[in-house]
Amino acid sequence: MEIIKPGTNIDFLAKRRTFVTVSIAVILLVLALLPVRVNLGVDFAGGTEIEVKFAEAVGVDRIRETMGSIGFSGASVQQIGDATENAYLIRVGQVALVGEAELAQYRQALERELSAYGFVSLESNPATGDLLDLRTEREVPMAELQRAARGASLPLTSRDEPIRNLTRGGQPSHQFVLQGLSDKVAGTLTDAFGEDKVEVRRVEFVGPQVGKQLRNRGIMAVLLSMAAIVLYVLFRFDVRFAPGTLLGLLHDVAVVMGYWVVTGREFNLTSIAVLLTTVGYSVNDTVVIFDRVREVATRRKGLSLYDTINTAINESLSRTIVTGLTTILSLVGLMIFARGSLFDFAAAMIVGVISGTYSSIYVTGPIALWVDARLQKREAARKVDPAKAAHA
Amino acid sequence: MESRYIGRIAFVVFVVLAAVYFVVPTFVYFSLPAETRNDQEAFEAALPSWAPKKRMTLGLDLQGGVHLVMGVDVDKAVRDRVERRADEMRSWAEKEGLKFASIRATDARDAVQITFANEEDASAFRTAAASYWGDMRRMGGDRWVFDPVYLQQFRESAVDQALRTIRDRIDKWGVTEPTIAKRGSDGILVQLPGFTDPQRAKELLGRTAQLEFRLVADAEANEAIAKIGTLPEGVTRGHDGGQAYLQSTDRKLLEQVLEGKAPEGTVFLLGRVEQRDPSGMPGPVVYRSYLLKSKVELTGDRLTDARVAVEQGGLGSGRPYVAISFDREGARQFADLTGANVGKRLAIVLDDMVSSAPVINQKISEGNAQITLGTQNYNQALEEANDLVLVLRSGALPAPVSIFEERTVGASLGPELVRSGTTAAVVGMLLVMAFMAVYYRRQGVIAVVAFVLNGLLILAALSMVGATLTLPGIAGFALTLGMAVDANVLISERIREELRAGRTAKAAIHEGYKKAFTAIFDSNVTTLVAAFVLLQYGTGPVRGFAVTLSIGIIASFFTAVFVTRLINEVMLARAPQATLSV
Repeated sequence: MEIIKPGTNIDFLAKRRTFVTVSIAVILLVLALLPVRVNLGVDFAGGTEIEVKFAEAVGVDRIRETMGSIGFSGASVQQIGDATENAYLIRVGQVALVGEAELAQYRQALERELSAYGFVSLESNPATGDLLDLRTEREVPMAELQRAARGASLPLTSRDEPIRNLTRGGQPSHQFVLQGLSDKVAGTLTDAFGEDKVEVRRVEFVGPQVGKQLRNRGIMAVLLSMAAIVLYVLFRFDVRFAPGTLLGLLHDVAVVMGYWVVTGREFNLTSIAVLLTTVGYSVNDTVVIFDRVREVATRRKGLSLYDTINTAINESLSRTIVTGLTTILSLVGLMIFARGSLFDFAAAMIVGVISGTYSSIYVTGPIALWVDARLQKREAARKVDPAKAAHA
Repeated sequence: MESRYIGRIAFVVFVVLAAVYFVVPTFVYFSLPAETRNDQEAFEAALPSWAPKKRMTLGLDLQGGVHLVMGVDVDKAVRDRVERRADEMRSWAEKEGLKFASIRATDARDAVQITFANEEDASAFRTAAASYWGDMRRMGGDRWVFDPVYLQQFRESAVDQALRTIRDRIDKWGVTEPTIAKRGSDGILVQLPGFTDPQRAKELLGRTAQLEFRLVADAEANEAIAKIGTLPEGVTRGHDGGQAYLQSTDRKLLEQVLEGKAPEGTVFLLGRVEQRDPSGMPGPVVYRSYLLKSKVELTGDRLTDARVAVEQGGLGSGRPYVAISFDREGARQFADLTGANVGKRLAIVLDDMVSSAPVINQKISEGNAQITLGTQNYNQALEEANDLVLVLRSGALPAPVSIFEERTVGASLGPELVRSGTTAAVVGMLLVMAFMAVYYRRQGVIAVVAFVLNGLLILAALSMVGATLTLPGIAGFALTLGMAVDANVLISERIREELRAGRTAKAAIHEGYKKAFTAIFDSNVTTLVAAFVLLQYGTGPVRGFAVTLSIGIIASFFTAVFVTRLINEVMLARAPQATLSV
């Protein structure tokens, strides 16, 4: 069986200007859209993601309404898995559980309630959001703290020890533990839909500093892999191939990012794995063609670079297509059977495989040609210059 | 068959057998029902005696569990430390009768600011402070800051003490195979497989560890232990010179045996005994009983500092000990306590675990006590001292901990993900195999053999290193195999080309492998580069994917190049005139 007939000879480089222009346009377009269109998941944006399963069908709207009733009007609710599963993903962004206005209100109330102990300060720990630190001149007995918390109507957690005395000599220090986000969400949902109707299956909370760290490290990882690969190409092959490889990889990363830009699906840690695997796949394709270029160049000396690259692409075309196919086939199962993040993994990876195949044919070769032309021009200029100097 | 193939065939057979050998534990693990899988004893019972013990484990995303990253607020711990030091300095100055306008922490709480009433008292304080608080420096005027080296140590120990408290609490829950490790400079990673109560996990952050000092009930212990009678298997008796005790590696069992056996006014608490084998490697954790008085003599909140110091001069010169200081009220209580109980032992108890029970040698009235350690070995004593300081500080100077990251997967979700993930991966693999066999005919079938072998090698390697199987890992397994087929595609395409060029079957195979090799090599190296970067970056599930990808690519060198070539050559040798089917 053959998909590509032997002896195929397509002039892939003829329309190179158009293809490279389109690629650069795609890169720029995605770059421009990235900040507005990418839906960062909790891994990167921070926040809380809760997967709940209901015993009966509830509908996205009712859940959204319920969430809105406790102040999370911005919560995203999305059904996952089969419709019969009644499973939903609820995502709440990084919210300050205690807003500035609320904090000021609590501060005022506690200052009034604890005036006998010399109120000093009340601060909320932004890292967790559910802790309030209270400092006073004199140590406050537990009973008094409880009374004050009721008086200030602090939304204390239902867990044991919502109030802690952290005084260890020195300035008295106390802590109130407020209701956490997942407590709040789970509690509200059980209240609304019934105790045995709701099962919280997964809770993911990522703090803001971790999200930012993961995001920066993700960007670094993608850039680092590209740099390392370009260096390898530089040493193993030809200087002329490096810029094309780089542009090809940029193109692929942009196209795969385009998957998230277009679909608006959640961009998370697995997405970084897709980006890096795409980079690996695409350069794999490119390198196979370069290897062929090297071979054609030694086999048929005197052939122009244009024809050499064209021949190499044509001769390896069958392999390029077949490997692309097997890779896509291995992902088809995931597309059909896997749920949630694995579906996106497979779908985006297929986009990556197609993009990688395209870029190794239509982007890297043309850029190598262009670089070659520039180098030759410069070389020629250098050869002419001394002659000019001699005449003068 | 020609003898020149024997060596290579033997090698391949050896690799296959070795791979099967290493996969066995993983296979046994997954064939056990989910409830008993993580029970090490049940697992070892089901395992054939010749098999290795290392196996793959299911990631938290697949078997349910809690993944927590906790951040220790070291900056707050440092600020608290400064405040505490201001108190110590104030009470010392008061005691010495020095006149000062104020001694307090600065607003940023990074230094102690002192204003003296007169120059005389100021210089008296400075002289004394230099020897008393050697860990501080005076910066312009009477502004005292901690020495940066000390501060760095303090920050590190703040994380260590939080880690210790967390470990002790988890230890009490009896979770199988918990992971508790430092991450980065101020993070603590906790993974509790099969543990799905996030509310409970938050207890780790909850209250400060309770540090208590209780007298050891040596007088009552011998009789109480003797009365217990026959012991269940796994529990043994011992005597530490002061009292008889029971010990076991099974904490729950030991607690059961001791329940209700403590005489009136006393209580049985446990302590951990760190066992070391002759080479110094930590052995299994052993728990032992201590019979203590019920009354708590003193609590940790009276403690102001604990540090490791080294004895200067005298008999024990150079030996490390633990120096502790109490605040004024604590010093008074401690003096009464030690005065009335010279010669008895005082147990240091953190969160109901006895960490040490030193003998009271004399009345300690200054509020500064020394705890000397039993061991003569310097390194071991230093280690014990460091550990005790962590215990004391956990109860006295808590480092606040907050949650950076929390991922909880319920028990019901995991099996569903394993099922759908495995189905998905198997469908993908079957499609690839079917395609190869149809498209490249006999060469395709040979590629399928390589494909299966590659899968086996990946599993074996993952088992050998005890890797964790995650959901992205399952996806990565299918994808890796799909990508690794590339080597076979390259070879088959080459063979086709050579045949078209009119070469004989033998020459086509020879040339095909030779010419495909550089392309396979270079393209695999570049993919590996990307996989390694991912390995460095990734956390948890994504890392599992990167590991699978890297192993698969490396294994494909062997399966796709070496094994398939051998198969081809052997087949050619048996039927030299046959045409190639590709």
